[in-house]
Amino acid sequence: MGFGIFIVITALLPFVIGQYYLYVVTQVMIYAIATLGLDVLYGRTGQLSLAHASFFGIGAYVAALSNTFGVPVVLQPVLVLGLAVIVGALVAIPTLRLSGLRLALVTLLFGELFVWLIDHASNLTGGSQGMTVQPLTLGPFDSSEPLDGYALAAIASLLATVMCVQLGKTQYGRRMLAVRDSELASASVGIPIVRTKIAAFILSAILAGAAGWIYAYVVGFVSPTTFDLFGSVNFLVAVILGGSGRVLGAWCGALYIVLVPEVFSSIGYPNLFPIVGGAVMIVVAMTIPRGLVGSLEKLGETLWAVRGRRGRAGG
Amino acid sequence: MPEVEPLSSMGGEGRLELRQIGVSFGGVAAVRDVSLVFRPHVITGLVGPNGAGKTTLLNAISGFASVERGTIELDRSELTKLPAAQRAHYGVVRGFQTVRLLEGETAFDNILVGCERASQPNIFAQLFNLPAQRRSWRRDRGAAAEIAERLGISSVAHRPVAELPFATRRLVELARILVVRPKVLLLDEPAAGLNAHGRRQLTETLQAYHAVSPFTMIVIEHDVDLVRRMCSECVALAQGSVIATGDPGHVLDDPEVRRAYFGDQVHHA
Amino acid sequence: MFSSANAIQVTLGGLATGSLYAVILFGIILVFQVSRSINFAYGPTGMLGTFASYALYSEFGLPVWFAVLIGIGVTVLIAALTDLLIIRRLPPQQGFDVVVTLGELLFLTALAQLVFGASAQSYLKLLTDVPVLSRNIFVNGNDVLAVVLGVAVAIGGYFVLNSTSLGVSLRAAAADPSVAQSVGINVRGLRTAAWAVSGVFVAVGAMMFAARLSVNAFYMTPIVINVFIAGMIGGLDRYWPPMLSAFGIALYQSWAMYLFGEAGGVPALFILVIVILAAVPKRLLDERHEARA
Ligand SMILES: Nc1ncnc2c1ncn2[C@@H]1O[C@H](COP(=O)(O)OP(=O)(O)OP(=O)(O)O)[C@@H](O)[C@H]1O
Ligand SMILES: [Mg+2]
Repeated sequence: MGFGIFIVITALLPFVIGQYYLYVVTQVMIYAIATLGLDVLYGRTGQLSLAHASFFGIGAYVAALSNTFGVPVVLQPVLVLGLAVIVGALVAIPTLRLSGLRLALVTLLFGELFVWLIDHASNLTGGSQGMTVQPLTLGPFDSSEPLDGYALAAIASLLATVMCVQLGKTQYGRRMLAVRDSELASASVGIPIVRTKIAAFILSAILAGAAGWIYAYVVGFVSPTTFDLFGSVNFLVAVILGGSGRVLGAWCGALYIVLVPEVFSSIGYPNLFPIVGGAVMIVVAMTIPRGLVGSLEKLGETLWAVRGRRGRAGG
Repeated sequence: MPEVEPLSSMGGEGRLELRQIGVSFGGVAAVRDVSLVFRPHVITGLVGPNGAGKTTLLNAISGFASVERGTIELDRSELTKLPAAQRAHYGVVRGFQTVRLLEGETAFDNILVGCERASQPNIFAQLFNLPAQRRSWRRDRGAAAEIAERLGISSVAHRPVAELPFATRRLVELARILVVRPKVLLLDEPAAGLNAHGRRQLTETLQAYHAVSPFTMIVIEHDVDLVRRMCSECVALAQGSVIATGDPGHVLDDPEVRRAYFGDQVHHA
Repeated sequence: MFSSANAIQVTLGGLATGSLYAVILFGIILVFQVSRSINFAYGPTGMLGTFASYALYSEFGLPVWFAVLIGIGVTVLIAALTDLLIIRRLPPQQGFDVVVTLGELLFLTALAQLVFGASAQSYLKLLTDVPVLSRNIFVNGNDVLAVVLGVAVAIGGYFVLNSTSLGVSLRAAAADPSVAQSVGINVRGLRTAAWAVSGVFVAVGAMMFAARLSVNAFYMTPIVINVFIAGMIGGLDRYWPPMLSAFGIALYQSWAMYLFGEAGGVPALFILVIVILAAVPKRLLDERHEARA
């Protein structure tokens, strides 16, 4: 039923809101896909990655450079997918030997390397100045048209959401939770720990890459500052704010990373966003470690239990 | 209700044979030269004083401690070098001395994790909810509900395990193990921390389950009465070596075992 | 072109950088060994102290030594507050120390950018304008000071951690907080003290680096990444391996940059880490494990 509501709202939205808001919603959808990716990796599997923005960037630069190299439209998703799988697996290799902090450091270093690559291939990528992205056109479709971009993002985010909800009902989803919570218990029931972590890395890389690819076409401009360490930390803020391991939480987080900067820009203080972001992460971790959605669920459960007890007492 | 069978239960009964097992930590031998045969479907009690090497022996069997010498065989397949996760797929499953659960999840989801050992569809079927995935989803939930029912934890199945009392957490761990029938079940002091009522309940539950779908079982236990009641065989360890085997009554009354347990007191008495 | 004078120059430069890495790393080791936590906001903490001291010097005309002292004080305060207000109050959930200090990293960096502007500035000279050796080889007072500091901190730190009762308390507090508490060690106080003291080291390191570069709010991030990597390679629960790695990484990187250009630093470090991860035996990389019972 949730999906039905989602589809109806998505279909009606363009008739209700103006182009600017449609563009904002499009961005929320794009960021939701990427945040769902980090949620699979960090929220569900417990692997702290500081390279998520780099995977987002890989997708974005596939879009940006495709025009330069004349990659046909239909090949691009395959390219994004292939790169995400390969690079995701490569970055996951250290997990064979590392976890926790050391893993975070290696992924951080990978993120640095990605930004370095973009900066030093400046004749292709425009370096730190960034580059404009030619719109994606296919028949009547033109990604620079707000409605077309919206449709693309809506379909992709619906797919990603359905997939992540489904993941929660599968063996792979259970493996991820088990690996996050206790590697010993996981091994004792026969869960292949390394394979689970690598699968999580790859899945999160695919989601981030797909989101980045759409992002580049919709926004029409890419620069490495979107994909650096601070970008990755922002995704982490989104996951933690929304609530680790929860699909709805990832959407809330995406809403936050898109809307709050818009609000700050509109009141003339765009620089406030990262300050607030950092503070939000600290405050959320300290006060509601389950995130918004997790805490609401908890509240709902408590209220439900109280009502149930009253009901029984009264009847 | 579906009774979920592990893939590997196709052949063999669960005969576990240890030949001259040795485990040591930094040069200190924790288990030395242990040779034992655990017959199929028999419940064996493993007793011995603190530090005797009981947990270490269990770790060696389940793959959580690497053995330096000797071999471990289950129904003619050698397990000695296999990692723990793979041994679980052969049907060798263990509980932990300190219960280990997915703390953030509900009891029911914890039990579902145990379905890892049942056959599952491939990742595409899983992610795209193909018929095979829908079948196994129904089967797993049915099996989890059934085992929760049998162990008497259905009423708390939807509560997060972090909120449950210790005795119930033990049962959740047990349910995670039993949701797919094991071939060899290893339990490390399952009754520790339970009161008399809890102990009786646990043994009865285990025995009832074992009577319906038998498997080889090794239980480490300090409670002598519990061992007498539940086990039909007994092995006593002291300082890493086997000092007695056989009928529980016989082993527990063995003078050497008593000496190992009570130390010098025997001499003073 | 390659010459022995160049080789000596590059090596000395790497040595000075490595010394500063070691100074910064000591603070990280101290915090890790006492509280098993990592402060990802460590670099920006030092950066803020550095910027504060410069503001006091250039805007309010305070004497250099006084401005530097206050800058160190600011860093110590931020580090201590991080423990007092955040780390202490975290829910007992694994890995949240990393998450909140990442949040603090974002917060402090953005704050510095807002207050001090985004453009690069120069900092106090701190002896960089005092030539010590020059003919073919250029060494300035700052380099000498860096090496002296680095060696003093590395050796002095070793003695404090290993040969004093303070060191014993620190290790006891890390190994088993409840046992340490029961023998009368004030574990919480000790932790906060360690965090505070770590501020001194990162402030000194940050100021020394600021004197050599033109700095913006981000300048400490790559530096601290290098230091973290040294800690990771050596293992933060040991002492000499990470300390020597700090020198090793700096030397390696200055040679890489000399041979492959300024841009060679990042990929060279990446390659080094990959090779080390592949080559080092697993048991040396092992972190704490869940107890196997
Ligand atoms: N991981 C380890 N590292 C080093 N020594 C260990 C390790 N595990 C166990 N030992 C040692 O091996 C010996 C046997 O320990 P084990 O835990 O197997 O005893 P146990 O019989 O289970 O005792 P208990 O009844 O207290 O649980 C002990 O001396 C113990 O100190
Ligand atoms: Mg034991």
